[in-house]
Amino acid sequence: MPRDASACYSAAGSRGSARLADLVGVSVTTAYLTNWLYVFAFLAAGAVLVVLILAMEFLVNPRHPTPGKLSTYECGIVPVGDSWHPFAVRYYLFALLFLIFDVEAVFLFPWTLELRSLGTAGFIEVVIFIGVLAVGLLYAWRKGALDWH
Amino acid sequence: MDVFLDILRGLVAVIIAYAFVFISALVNIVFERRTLAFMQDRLGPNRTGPQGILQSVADSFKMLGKEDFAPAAVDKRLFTLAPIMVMIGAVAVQLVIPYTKGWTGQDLNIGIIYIVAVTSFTVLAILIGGWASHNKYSLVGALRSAAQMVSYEVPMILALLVVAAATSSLSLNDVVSAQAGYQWFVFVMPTTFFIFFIASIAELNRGPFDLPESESELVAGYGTEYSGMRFGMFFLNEYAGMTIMSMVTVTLFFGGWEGPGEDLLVLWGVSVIPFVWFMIKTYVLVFALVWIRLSVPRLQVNELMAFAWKLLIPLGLANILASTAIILWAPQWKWVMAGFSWVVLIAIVGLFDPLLRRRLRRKHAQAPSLTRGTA
Repeated sequence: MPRDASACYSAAGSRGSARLADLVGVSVTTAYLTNWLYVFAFLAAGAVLVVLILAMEFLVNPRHPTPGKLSTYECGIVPVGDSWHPFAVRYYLFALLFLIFDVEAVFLFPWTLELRSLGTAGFIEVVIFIGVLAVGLLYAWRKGALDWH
Repeated sequence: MDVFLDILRGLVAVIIAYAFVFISALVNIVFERRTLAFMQDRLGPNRTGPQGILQSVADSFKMLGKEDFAPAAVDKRLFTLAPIMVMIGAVAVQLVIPYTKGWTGQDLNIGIIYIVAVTSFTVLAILIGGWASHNKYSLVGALRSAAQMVSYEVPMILALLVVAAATSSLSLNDVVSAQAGYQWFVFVMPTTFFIFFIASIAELNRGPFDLPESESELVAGYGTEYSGMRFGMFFLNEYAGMTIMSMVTVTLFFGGWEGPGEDLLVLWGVSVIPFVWFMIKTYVLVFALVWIRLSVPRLQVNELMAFAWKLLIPLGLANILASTAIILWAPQWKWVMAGFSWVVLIAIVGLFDPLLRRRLRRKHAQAPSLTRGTA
C-alpha cells in the first residue's frame, strides 16, 4: 500500500478534530498542529491541577518552622556530611543500556506499522538489527554490566 | 462555532481526566486497604461513612490541613517542581485513552508512543524530587526508582511493538477495533501481555517491585523530606496510576470498551454501556494488582535488575521476531500466534519456578550458616 506524504498528513489530521483547520481554511498541516495543541493543553492541565491544589493548601495550612524541623532527616541524628555526593557508576551503565534499547524501539516502531508492505526483506533486515543489539546485550551480560553487586 | 466545539471538547476531556485522577485515587486507597484487610482476615478502615468508604476523603482533608514545609537544605524550586511534574503523566495519558465507543480525548495517530513518552514524566519527577531533597535516603530512593523504571520501560516498549505490529497502527482506537469480536490480545498474545503486565507493575513501583519505597531500608525513599500536600501529590499519583495503567492495559490487551450491549444507550454519540464494561475490566486489573502485592514478597535490587535485563528483555526481543514472523507469513495468524504464545507462556512459567528454586538451593548451600558449626 503506497503512501505519499500528503496521505500521511491527512491521516494525521483527519482523526478527531480537523474542524478547526477547516474553519481556518488552511492545509492539513494545521489540523496536525491542532492535535498537538491538545497534547500541550493536557500537559499544562496536569501542572495546573497541582498548582491549584498547592495554592489552596497554602491558604489553609499552618506554618510553624523550628530549626529541628527544618534540618535534614537522618534517623533523628545530626546529618553527617553532604547528601549531594557522587553515586555508584552502575546507575550510569543501566542508563546507557536503556538509551540503546529505547532508540532501538524508535527504529522498530515504523517497521511494525509497515510490516506487511516491507515483507521478507524488511524482516531480514530487522533480524540483523536485533541480532546486533542482542550481541551487544550478551556482551554487557558477559562483562557483568547486568549484575548488581 | 466549530472552534468553540473543539475548545469545549478539550475542556470536557480535561475535566474527565481530572475526575479520573481524583476519584480513582480516593477509591483505590480505600479499595486496597479494605481488600488487603479482607485477605489478611482483619477489618480495615470501617468507621468513616458506611463500611469506611469515606476514609480517604477524610484523609485528604486532613492532609490539606497538615503543615507543608521544606527543610532548610533543599533546593526549593526543584523541590516544588517535582510534585507538579509527577501529576502531568497521570493527567496527560488520558488524552488518548478511548473510554468508550465514541469518546476519546484526542485520537492521536501515535497514541502508543505518546503513552510511553508521557508516563516517563514520573521518572523525571522522582529523580528531581529525590535530588532536590538533599537527603541521602531520598537520593538513593530516587536513583533506585529511576534505574528500575528505566529498566522496565524497555520490556514494556518491546511488548508494545508486538501490539503495534498486530494492529498496523499506533492509534489506540485502532488497537481497540483490531480486537473486535472478542479477539482480545490477551488471548491472542498472552506472552506479550505477561511481559507488559509485569513491566507495568514495576513502572508503578508497586507490588513485588516497591523497592524505591522499602521502608525498612530507605525510610520513605524519594518522598522522605516531603510533607503535607506536596507529599500528597506523590501519593495521589501512585494510587491514580493503578487505575490509569490498568486502563491502558485494558485498552491494549482486553479489547478496551468492548462488551455486550454496545448501542443500548447512546447520549450525544457517546455510548454509555461500553464505559461500564471498560471500568469493570479496569477494576478487575486493579484487584489483580492488589492481590499480587499481597501475595509476592519484595525482590532484592539485584534480582529486580536481573529479572528485567536477563529474562524480560531477551524474551521480549525473541517475542518480537517470532510474533512478526507469524503475522507476516502464517495464514489465520491470530490462531497460530495464540497457539504459539500460550505454549511459550506455559513453558516459561513452568520452567521459571523450578529454575529459581534450584538456584536458591545452590545459593543457600554456599552461604555461611549462622547456626552450623557454633556451639
